[in-house]
Amino acid sequence: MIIILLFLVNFINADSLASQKTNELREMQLRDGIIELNSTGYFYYTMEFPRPYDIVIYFVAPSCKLCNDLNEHYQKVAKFYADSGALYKSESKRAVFFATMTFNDKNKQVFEQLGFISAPNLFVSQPHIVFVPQDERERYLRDMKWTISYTDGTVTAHKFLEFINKRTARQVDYKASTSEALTVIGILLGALTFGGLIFIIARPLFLNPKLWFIGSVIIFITCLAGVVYNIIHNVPFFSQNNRGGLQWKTNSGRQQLGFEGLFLSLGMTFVGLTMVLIMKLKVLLKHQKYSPFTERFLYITLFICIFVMIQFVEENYRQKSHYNPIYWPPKHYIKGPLNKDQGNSF
Amino acid sequence: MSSEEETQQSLPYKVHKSTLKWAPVFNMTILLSIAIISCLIRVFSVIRYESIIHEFDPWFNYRTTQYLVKEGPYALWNWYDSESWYPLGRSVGGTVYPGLMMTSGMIYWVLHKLSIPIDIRNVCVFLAPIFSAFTSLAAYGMTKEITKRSEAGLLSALFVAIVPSYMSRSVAGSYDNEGVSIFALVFTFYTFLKTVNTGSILWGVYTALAFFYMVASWGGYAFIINIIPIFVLFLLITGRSNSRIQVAYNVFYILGTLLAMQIPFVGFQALHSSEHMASHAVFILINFLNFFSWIRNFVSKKAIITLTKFLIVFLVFSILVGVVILTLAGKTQWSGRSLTLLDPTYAKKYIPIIASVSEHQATTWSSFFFDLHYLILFSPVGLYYCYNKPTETKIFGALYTVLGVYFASVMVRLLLVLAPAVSIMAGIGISWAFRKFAKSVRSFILPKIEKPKKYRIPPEISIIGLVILGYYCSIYVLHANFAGSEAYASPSIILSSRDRQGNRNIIDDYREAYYWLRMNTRPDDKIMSWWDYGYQITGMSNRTVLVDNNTWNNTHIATVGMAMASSEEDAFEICEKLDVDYVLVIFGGILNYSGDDINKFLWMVRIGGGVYPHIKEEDYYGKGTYRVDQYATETMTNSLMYRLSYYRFDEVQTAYGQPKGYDTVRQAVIGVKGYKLRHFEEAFTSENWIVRIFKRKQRENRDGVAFTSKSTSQFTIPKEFSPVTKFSKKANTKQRSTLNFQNNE
Repeated sequence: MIIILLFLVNFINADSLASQKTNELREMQLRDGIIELNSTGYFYYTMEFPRPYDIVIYFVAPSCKLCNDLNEHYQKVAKFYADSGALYKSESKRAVFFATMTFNDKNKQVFEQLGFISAPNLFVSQPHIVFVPQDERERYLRDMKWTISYTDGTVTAHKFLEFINKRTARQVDYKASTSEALTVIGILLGALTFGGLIFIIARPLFLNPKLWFIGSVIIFITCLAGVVYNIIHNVPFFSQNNRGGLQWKTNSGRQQLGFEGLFLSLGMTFVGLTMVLIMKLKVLLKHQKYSPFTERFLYITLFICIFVMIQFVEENYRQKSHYNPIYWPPKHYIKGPLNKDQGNSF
Repeated sequence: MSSEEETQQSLPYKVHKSTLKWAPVFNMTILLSIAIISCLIRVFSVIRYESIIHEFDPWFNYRTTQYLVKEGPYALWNWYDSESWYPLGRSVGGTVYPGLMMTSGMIYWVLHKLSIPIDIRNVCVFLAPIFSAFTSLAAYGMTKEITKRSEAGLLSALFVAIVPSYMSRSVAGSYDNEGVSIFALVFTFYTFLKTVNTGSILWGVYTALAFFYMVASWGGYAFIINIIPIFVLFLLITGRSNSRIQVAYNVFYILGTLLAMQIPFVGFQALHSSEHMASHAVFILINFLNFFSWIRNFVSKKAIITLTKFLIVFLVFSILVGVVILTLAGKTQWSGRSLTLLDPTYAKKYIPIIASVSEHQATTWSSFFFDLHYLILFSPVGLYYCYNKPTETKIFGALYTVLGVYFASVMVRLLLVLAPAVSIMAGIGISWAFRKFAKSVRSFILPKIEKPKKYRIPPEISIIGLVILGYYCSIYVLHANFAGSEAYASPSIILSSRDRQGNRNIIDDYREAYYWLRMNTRPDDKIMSWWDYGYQITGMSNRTVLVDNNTWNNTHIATVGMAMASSEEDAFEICEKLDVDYVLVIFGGILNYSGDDINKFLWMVRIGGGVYPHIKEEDYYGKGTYRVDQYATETMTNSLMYRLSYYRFDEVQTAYGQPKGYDTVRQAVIGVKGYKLRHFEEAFTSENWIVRIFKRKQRENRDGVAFTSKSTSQFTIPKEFSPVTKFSKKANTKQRSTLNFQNNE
């Protein structure tokens, strides 16, 4: 009987301690937005049972730029979670709290225990952590922590959410704040209004097909220059070669430099535009009186321009990849009868 | 004889007259020859290699077609494929564009009904070349609709027929969606332009049907459903809209959307996906304007102005209120979604699975030049011609080109959509130049017929021009010929190399290995490989794979990436969880084959790391670069991929004057030599080591853990037994709950 009573008391105690810890954490988070933990707090709230909740802890170091940059996103995520009611446990899910820890001499031990050698780190601490035996620990922790580094690319609140959602089994979505949403709407509407106004003011200009042509050619040149490629791969306009000189093109068929793309795109479009000029030369020069010789000279010059430019483009391409259009078949084609060639189905 | 009659008797006049008489015959003959050429140039791959399905995706299409032919269309609809994406499986019927398979299935059935017992493989292999012939005919029609000139049409047809970009996806054996859908694309545009020119509802229906075929065959139909609304909107803004446009658009939109919904993979996406939004908006707008102008007939001018003002204010206000309410209610997802819409680079920067595919890369100028060659140089001429005296169809051609260039610059694969556009533009431009030059020469030779005009180019210049343009056209043909016979002819599952004497050697490692798998493993064995080879393994070996080229489940791919990037022990655990029996890696270190898994490995790390953050890319960089030599990091040399790829590699000499274990691709001697595998054993390595297959061993017995009783509470654990030791009785029970938890997850 006594044993049962003792057990009950113990049970009730544990239960009340659990709810007490939960309440404390909830109050702290509601007050500060994010709970600031020291090492005592860490051991008390995460490593001592009972703890019927998850804690997400963001480990930072002083004077760590990336930590500060990401802090804003972390706070957002904490707010999304709080807004979605994650501070209270539901039928199947534990409450989730958000805390942060800044590295100093006193809490060094915590960082070491979790195996952090750099900052920032995100860590989702679940009640099970208390049970995990030492030699399973590493594998267990590995799934629960995320050491953020430059190879993770641009880390946003979305990525934080994805990471935390997976580990807390909650489905909290990113919600733009009202001001953010209004800014986006404002910019979009503003741009639309601005475009509409410009169109109304300069309507005759926009209805001019000549302008369409110019616009099209500009788009044509920009796209041909591989601007999207340059943006994605962060390509510099120029670079330096081994000898320290200025380098404006690469020899690799899959890469390009900013200037190279633009220059060759201009060159390629130039051919077409010169061709247009040849077609239209007579009309353009209708008010000038030229001798037939000058006129023919002009035409020949334009043709030479086309020829030289095409040579130039081809020459540049040849340095990047195999390119050799010839009028006769390659040597290996006429080397013997077809059926000596391995691999054909004749 | 009068001078008039004398002229008529002269030779040039006779030639001119008879040419005119025979022109339609020439026209058709040339067009037919172009169609034949477009077929023949694509058969190089069969002549130089063999009649085989190429690359990766075609293997899935081929397998699906086989299933279709064997089981019938309804079975395909309900096909749940358990051989891929183990243990998830894939519902093929609902996630496939069936147009391609249905087409070849249809051809197969018709031929068999006609007692021509053709093999389904040959139907599949030669389908794309046949459709390219149709494409050139459609391009002829489309150009003719744009310019009303058949010579422009003929040039465009020739250019489309052999443009390298299109050939890259439609050589014989390249049995892919694009092979038929580029025809569908051009044909849809042709019928649409025909509707625009005639205003005929019948042609509108044809447009919708052609569009339906396009939707059935390729996801690129989104291009059509966007460009046509943009075109209509452009005409509305510039005040060029008319009733023909309205007929064309309304018929196309209503029927097209309804038909598109019949494809299970599209379904209701045709109503609510963002790709279709433009088409809905323009439909509403065009009919609203129509309605408004109809009302105008019955209302006074003053009332109209008031009405207009009221409508504008009402519209703006309601949109604003609607957007704000939706935002405040949290129904709209601004940040993530709008970012992907506004910034085409978003997905590629942040989603590694998209960035890792080479055909998703952004395009450099050299890709434009290789794949479109001189067409890209001469298409501004066609653009100018179209804008010079714009009609609706010319505007469409120009818009198609400009939008196409934009999309092509975002993604290499979309060069394919641009290819017909620049072919048509270059065709129009060059034929314009040819015509001008020819007219000037004609007026010189036959002044009576071709009256000299003021702005005519001097005849000798015209001859030079004709020669130069002819020369460049011929160079284009040569380049296209090279592309068809060499650059794009390789099936990529058969490789060829050339020795110093110029003899060709066929390297058939892939098929050797896949055949081995087929013959030497149990039918229900699961093969783990990187997703690139998934379709080939299911297609050729008929074995179950974990991931394949239909990259629908990023997490599953990331799991495989994690297994490859983990140490052998960890990988073993993952493999055991996933029931993996064999691991297949591609290794090119002996043959200098650079498309191997070690070179793709960083992407596995990235994709794995995207889901499992403990995989860090920088852990695989030794001294700041990705390397396999002695400076490679421990994580790298311990990874399963490294261990399997270089297993026993130090026993062979690969290059003259280099020590054993010299990797010819990475040009370095491997860092770890003479290691043993603990959980895997080598099962097969192909002739040139390109494909290596390893079998997962059974789990080793745990040393010394011999429970004599079911009750563990009686059991005292000896200290020297490492894995489960070190716990008191209490800890042991706790550990159990951990295990439970892991199982639950």
